[in-house]
Amino acid sequence: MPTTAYLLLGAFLFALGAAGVVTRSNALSMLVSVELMLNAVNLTFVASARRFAELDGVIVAFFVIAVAAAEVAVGLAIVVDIARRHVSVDVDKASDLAG
Amino acid sequence: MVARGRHRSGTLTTLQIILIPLVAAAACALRVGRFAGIVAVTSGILEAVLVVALAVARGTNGIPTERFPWAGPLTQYAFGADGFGLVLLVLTGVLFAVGAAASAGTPRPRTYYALWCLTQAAVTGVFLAQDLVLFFVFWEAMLIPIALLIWLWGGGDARGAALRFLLATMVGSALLLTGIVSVVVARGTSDLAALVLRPLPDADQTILALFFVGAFAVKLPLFPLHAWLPRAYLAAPTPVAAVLSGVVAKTAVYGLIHLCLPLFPTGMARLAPILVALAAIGTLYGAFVATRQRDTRRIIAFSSLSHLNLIGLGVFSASAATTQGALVASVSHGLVVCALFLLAAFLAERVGGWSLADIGGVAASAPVLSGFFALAISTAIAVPGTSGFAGEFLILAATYARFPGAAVVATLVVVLSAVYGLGLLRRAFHGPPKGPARRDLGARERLLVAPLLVLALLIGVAPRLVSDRVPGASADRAEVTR
Amino acid sequence: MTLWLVVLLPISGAVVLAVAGGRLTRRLHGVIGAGSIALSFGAVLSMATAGRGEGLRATLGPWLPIAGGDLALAIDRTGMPLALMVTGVAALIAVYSIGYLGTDSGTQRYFATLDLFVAAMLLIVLGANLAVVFAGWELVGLCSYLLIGHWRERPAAAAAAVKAFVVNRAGDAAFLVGLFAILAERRTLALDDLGGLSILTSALLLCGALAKSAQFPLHIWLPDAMEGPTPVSALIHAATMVTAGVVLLLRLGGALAPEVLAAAAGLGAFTALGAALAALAQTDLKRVLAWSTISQLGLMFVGAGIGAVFATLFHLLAHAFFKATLFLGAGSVMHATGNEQDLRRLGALGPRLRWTAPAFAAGALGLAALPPASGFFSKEAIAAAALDRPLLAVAVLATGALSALYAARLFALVFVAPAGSAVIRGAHESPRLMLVPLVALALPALGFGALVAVGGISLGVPATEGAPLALTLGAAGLALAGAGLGLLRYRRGPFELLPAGFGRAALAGFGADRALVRGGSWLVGTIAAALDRGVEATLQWSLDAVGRLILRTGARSQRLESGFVRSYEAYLLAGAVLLLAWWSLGVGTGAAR
Repeated sequence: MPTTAYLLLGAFLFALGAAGVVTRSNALSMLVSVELMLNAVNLTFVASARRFAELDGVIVAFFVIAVAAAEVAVGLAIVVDIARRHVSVDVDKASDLAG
Repeated sequence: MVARGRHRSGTLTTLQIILIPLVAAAACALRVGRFAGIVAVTSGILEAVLVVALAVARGTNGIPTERFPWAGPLTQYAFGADGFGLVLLVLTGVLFAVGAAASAGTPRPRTYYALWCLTQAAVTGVFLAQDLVLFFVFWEAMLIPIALLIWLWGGGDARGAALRFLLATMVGSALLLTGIVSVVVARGTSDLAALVLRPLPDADQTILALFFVGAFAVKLPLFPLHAWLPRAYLAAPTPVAAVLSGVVAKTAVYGLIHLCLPLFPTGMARLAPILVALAAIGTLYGAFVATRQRDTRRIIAFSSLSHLNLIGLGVFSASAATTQGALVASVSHGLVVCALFLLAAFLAERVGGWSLADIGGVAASAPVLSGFFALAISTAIAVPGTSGFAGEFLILAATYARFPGAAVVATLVVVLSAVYGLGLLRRAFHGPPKGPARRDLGARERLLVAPLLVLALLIGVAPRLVSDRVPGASADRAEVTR
Repeated sequence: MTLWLVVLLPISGAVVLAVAGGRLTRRLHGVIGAGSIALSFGAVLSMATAGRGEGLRATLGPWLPIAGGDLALAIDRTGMPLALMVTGVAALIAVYSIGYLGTDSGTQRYFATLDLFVAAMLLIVLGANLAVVFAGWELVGLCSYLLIGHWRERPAAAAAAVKAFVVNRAGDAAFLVGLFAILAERRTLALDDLGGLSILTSALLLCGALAKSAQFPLHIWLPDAMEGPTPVSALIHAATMVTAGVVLLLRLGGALAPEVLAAAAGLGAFTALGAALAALAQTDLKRVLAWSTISQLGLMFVGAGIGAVFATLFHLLAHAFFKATLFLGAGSVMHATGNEQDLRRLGALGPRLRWTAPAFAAGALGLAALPPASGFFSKEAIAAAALDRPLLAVAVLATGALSALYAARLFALVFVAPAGSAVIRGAHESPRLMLVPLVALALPALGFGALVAVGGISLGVPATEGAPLALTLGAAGLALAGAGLGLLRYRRGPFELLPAGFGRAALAGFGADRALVRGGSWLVGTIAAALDRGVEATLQWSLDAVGRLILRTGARSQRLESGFVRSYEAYLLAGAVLLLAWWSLGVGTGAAR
């Protein structure tokens, strides 16, 4: 398969994830969208690694997976705290830092 | 340059001069209690006396620059003064002392006097700084204490006045900082003496001069950048207004003479026609508007604007003779405006307000107040024998040689100043007495104002005491190359 | 050093009175005031009798840091006679003032200012450079302001004082610019080095002289200056300060451009005639004398303008004597009648004031230029010098005739005509302190002219040849005719000689005063209002606008801080995309090169 296809798929998934982050108001949905973006980036890295026959892209993908996992853990902790304060996970309502 | 000043005692004399007000400020802030006022007065007197003693002991016109490297290439301790700065330092000491003495009875005295001495220290630093960065530090340091003094102890719209004062001055400071940074980057040093030896290329000088002049023009204030002045003078407590007009405005004069002219001779020469025109217009403008005022403070404020613009005229004409005139006029204006503000305050206490509308005939019951006021007004309107005349005559005569049109326009101020000055006297003091008999000046009040007027007369009869401190007509600074 | 003593004596009198006068009695004020002037007169007299005069110089010390800016005095050809006159007349008037002021509470101020005035006038007469002359010039203006407004509680006096000072200042502004021009051209203000000055410079200096000597159009302050005490009017507004303009023209002499001198003569003639007509219509005792002074000064300007130094100096001195006599006599009349100044209410005072009346008559004879009073010889000298300029000569002679007419009218209405009201019933002669100086001045008013004419007194300037007999007879005839007409018409009481409309116009000085004052106030007021309400308001608004702009920008930027997480994300994303695009495109083009 031509690498371009993988890259396009990666771009499409990234755009989907970005759109999701900006459009969704549910904090958990935003986290899922962020995960989608990270996975899209992984796909791009692996495809590039395959194309140039370098292992660097694969190694970076491992890093990204690890960081994504850590980020989800921290993000969920924050979401739980917001839920406790505002009794909902709607991000729009968490605008205490306005002004 | 690791050049420690070599003196018999081995101490840095300029440090002593700066330390006096700083120590006084600290003392006022700490537990000096009731004596804060006396400390402040003493700091002023000490500073003036010390500077005079230094100059007399050396027999020179100035204090040699003392340099000491500090913490890196752009920070150094470089303080000194030429003749111009020397005279202004003495004026600072005298006026701050008188103002402090006149501030007796203010609420929260310790904080007030601490801020007062801080202002004095900052102004002293401006006059002593021989390094661009140091100059800027002290220039900025002046602002906050004054703004606080106006805001917290002032009357009327004190907050608005202080904010506008800060806003206008800060815009100027931004320009100054930009200019200073450009110069330092271009030449790699901020030491004034070194910079003067290697002037910048002509093409850059004009725009840089404009930046520097912008800052000083707002502070002077040069017409039309004076909008902050009436509000500030009216809102500030009387001693603060006296010092603001008498001394702080002179830091702008000093900056122009000490920084702009030596650093950017060609640039200033190119800007001279427009600046001279603005100064001449400003001289008349202040006088015209003063004729319409019926509030004593507003009359003094616009009269001050007129005088400061006249001094600016002398500065921008940039010849040695006009510089001499500007120095004499600066000293004269400082003395007179302080005297006028104090006398106006005494009058206002007695008639219950600053308005001239419903008062009259005060001379009948308070002849000494009337006499002092008349003498102060005579100095302000340049009657020969007073320092006012000496300064005005020297500036106008020397400006006529280079910019005759501007000189002629500015000379018309003698007529207008008579109108507003004598008009003030007539409305307040002459005519049938209105209202109850007023108390005349007490001993303390006379003691506050008399030295100022005596000095004004002394300089009027012997202006060379002041003008000889700067080089005479044979040595010109920024020649207009025609 | 004696030369500087002449000036320093009155100054020390002024200083002593100003500083320590509060503790002294009123009598002492007068003694110190008059005494210091008398001592000064003594000093001048001793120099004169010792034969030291023209050419004497004395420098007190440096003053202004310019060439010719030192405190230096020098006696030129006019210095000695003028110094003698100024100190002598001032001393007599000071003594008179002691009696005139009586129980006035302002004697400290009065005598201090009087002393300062004398010193300043001497600076004008004796100054060696224009800086010192100008200092004296402005200081006499200041003293005039202080003395006109001596009775501070009278609004009319306060207003007249300000008017005098401001009008003088207008002339001084021109004078100043003239000084700047001289300094720029000649690099020095010393009087002995002045060569030919340009027309512009000369014209500027002339403007100064016009204001100080109350010539058209800057004469408007003098009639109002009569609000001051009468001795002040005698000294300042007759004998000394107003003559400063003439003194300046005499001292500058040939340095002024001939066109400007001709203009001075022309203006002088015009003023002399106009003021004489105005004097004829006045109903106030002192105002007649004020307009008369303006007129006589005009004659002096004619003399100075045509270069007749001797004649002008002669008339200046003679006028000082007879005008001072007239003013002091008027003061005596006012003292006798409880300050009545209206001519229509006076009259029949001749028999009651047995000393004042003859003294006044002596002054009136001098004014009318009837031989052998001094005015006759001095006016004839000017007319003689003007003979080659027929227009000027006619003006001089016509003024002479009119002067005789109004002088006689004045004398008749006050002393001869039947009483105009009841005020004269209690009229009594003045105290000796007032009478002695009055009579002392009346004597030279009568005899000075004759003495000079026969060569008994030298004025230090070479005397010109005598006038042709025709002129002498003509002038005498005109004077006799005028005086006779006046006496005959007015000995029966107030009678309007001039047609009604013209008379009213003349009374008001032909509207010059109103026009200038209204025009001046309108001009200054309009400009000031335009600047205050227009420019100042706009500038305040712009400062506030800058402040409001900053606040508004801050408020708008604040909207970015919405606390809205999704918008933060959107900004992040947009920024990242832009950066990436810029970087990749930039790198792309870079790599392609």
